[in-house]
Amino acid sequence: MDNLQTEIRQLIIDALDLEDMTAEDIDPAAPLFGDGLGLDSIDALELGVALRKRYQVRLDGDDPSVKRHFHSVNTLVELVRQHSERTA
Amino acid sequence: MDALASGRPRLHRMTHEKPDGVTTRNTTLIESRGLTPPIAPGRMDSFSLPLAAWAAWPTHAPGCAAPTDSPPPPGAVDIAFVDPMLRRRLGPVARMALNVAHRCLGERTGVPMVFASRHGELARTLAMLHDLAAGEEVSPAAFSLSVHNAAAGVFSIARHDTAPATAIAAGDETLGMALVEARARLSEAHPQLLLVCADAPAPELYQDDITTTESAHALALLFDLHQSRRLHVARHASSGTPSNSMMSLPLADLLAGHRPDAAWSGTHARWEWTLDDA
Repeated sequence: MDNLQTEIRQLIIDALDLEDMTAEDIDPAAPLFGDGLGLDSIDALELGVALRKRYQVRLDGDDPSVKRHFHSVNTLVELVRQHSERTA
Repeated sequence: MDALASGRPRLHRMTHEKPDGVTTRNTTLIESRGLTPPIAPGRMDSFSLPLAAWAAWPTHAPGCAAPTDSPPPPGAVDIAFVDPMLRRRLGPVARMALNVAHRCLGERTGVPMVFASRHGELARTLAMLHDLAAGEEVSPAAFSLSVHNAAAGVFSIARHDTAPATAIAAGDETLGMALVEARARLSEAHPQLLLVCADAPAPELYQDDITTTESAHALALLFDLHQSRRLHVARHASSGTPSNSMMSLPLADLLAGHRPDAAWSGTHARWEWTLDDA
């Protein structure tokens, strides 16, 4: 699933205007928010919209597991993979 | 009957008891539901403001900018004082506004701000309207920065400065009404005020409603009651021939020393400015 990981890193760069970064700059295991990549709450909303458009992943903001899914690139890869397996 | 309840705008006679440093004669502030102050033709209102500093973008001869200027590319306007993670989403109008605001204000903090723009980030708003019309979801980031006070908010965040800010738009007289707002807000308690006016041409779709030739530009003026240099402002209600430029450009020319006085005519009024060191 290396392709999906690269795809999601590129999705983050494109959706969040991280104009000076490349996919390789994003550590797939590092936190996306706060200390790691440093994304903010607007990025979280934007990323939710991008994931819905691209992978039809629907997220409920009240669901406590959302925070876990949004932790890093790797957890997002896992989320998208689980979703595609469920809907396959 | 209450003037507002009757649907008529209210006129307030501005008090002539004013703090040192601000002079007023025959000045009327208008509180109107519409954008057009209902002043009788031929009437003149004037006041003066104590000018401490100014900055413009483009930095060279702002008034001489080519009238068909398209918005500058993101890298063309230096706003390095804004954290890259905050800076990445900003549109051209906000970038120009932040550039002139930061250069004009320098290290000063706690200075209230009036942010003025006729169109704001209209291109961003239009893109969101297209998304809505197509049944697409609206970008949260685009929405957060499309509101008229977004540039003022980002300026506050970037400089860790909690000074109050207002954001206004008033059609082709936006800069003029920002000057009225500045006059109204300067007081002994708040003796300094930063006025920032920034705009880029409205998107093509709106061109039928635009009578002036628009260009990308920004202008910042710092007023300080302890300064003796005066910017005199006069507004004549009239329906003469409108100028073919945005309102900020002749004022920027005056500030740059390119002319001894400046004037601009809009759809409803003619504005005149002079500077003195009295």
